[in-house]
Amino acid sequence: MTTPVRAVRAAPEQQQAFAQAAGITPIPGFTVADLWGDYTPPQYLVKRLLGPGEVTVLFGQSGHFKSVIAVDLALCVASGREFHGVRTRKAGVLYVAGEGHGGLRKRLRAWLIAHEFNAASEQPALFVTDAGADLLGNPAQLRVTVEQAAKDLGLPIELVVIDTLAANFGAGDENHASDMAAAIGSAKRSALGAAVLLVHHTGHGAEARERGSYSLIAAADYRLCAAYDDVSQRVEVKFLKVKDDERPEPFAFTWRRVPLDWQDVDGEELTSVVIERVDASGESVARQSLGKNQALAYRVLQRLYGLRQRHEAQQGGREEDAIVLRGAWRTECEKAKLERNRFAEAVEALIEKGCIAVEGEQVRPLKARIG
Amino acid sequence: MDRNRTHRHAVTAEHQRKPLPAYGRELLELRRQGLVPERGFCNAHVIVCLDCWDIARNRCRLVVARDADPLSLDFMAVAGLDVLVAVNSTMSDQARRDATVRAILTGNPASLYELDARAPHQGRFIKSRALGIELQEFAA
Repeated sequence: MTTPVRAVRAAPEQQQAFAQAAGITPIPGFTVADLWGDYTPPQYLVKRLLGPGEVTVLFGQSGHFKSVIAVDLALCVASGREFHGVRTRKAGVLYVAGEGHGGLRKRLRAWLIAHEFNAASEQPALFVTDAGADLLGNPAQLRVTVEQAAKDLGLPIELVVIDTLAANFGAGDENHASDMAAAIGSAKRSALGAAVLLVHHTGHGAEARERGSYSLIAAADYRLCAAYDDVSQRVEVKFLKVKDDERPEPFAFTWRRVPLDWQDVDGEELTSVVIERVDASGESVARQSLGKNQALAYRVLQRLYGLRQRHEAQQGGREEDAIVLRGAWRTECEKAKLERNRFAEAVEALIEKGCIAVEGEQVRPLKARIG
Repeated sequence: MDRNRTHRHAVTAEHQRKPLPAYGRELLELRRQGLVPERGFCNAHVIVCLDCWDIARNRCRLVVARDADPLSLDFMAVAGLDVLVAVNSTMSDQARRDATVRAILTGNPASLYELDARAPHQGRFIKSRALGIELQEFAA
């Protein structure tokens, strides 16, 4: 064939024979009639937020809690706990930490302590790397890491957290569409079908979007923007893109310090932070983490406290001076069929979880401190 | 950074296939576009030349070079086509000619006719559209 060959369109049987020989298979699909058959709902990791093979981008400015949220989300999936009222499915998680490894250990320990884990507990199925990946230069390394993590955890990896995208990007330009597309493609391929959570920074002078090429926005199935407000001391997570569903209302989080039971070199106690979701009034929406008796005792206390506040206001006093006596609370709980010894246990738990403040016989609920 | 890196990863699977005979890439490209060569000599779409580069220069041809093992080559590009294999019994021994025929048959041509340049009237019908494999030694 030293001269160009004259060619004609292939007959169907010729094309079919070639497709068979070359191993070319048709793109799988379905007909409309198939829609009336059985429906298998797609699996999720975090309902309406993370699913197999999907890419979620969580971005925010430096110091706006995006890594704290990523750690929280990773541990919720790894332990099968609800993510602040959103259902999760327990799965193996790989956390690829490209920066801040010292701080990450503290955040992980804070979450574990805040959620009542100890050395004897069944541990969340989470594997954390001590170094970052190179998505552009060495995608094979990430793939091997996914396989090794699954082996170590004894559970398939179904979520890969890349924190941050910039620290794991490799030698490329995140403003360049082809480099960004290559990095995302590399993360997806290396994740072997797992969901990918990319933690990223906001753009320079454009806080409402991710830094770098627009191809990241286009490739993401879900986009979450985290922003911390110094005045209210809350983190708000907005849902800017949710695939195939309507966007939920923003999630608001408060934070609290948790003693780590670790000391620094001077013997001073180390702490780190955990987040707690609150609603518009500042009340926790994570009721599910309270036991049945604890929730009952807390509801009774809230009712009594509300009555006392109204009474104070009617008497011309200040609402914040309202107090509830422990004995009155116990009596009301007994009326609500809560046994006396269960009441004592519930009080201890509520104190430990930071839901109530107790001073001698006086007690009051702490609205934003239910966890 | 090397911008061709991703492309190289993408074609790795293709490289794991057997090598193509000479001019195989051009024919394969045609087939991927849904085209076939126009019929030519002996009504064949493709002429496979064994150990010879001098014939069918202006036709669609594949060449099995003298230093190549025919069975190590990938003939998938001839799938569904009528193929003529041109041999020269003074240049290639019987075992090599048969090996070439077997290699082409793995590509599943619609028909295959062997023409010996030294004895043009003694060609062999290896495979026909009507009967399939006609010679027992090449069956299965």
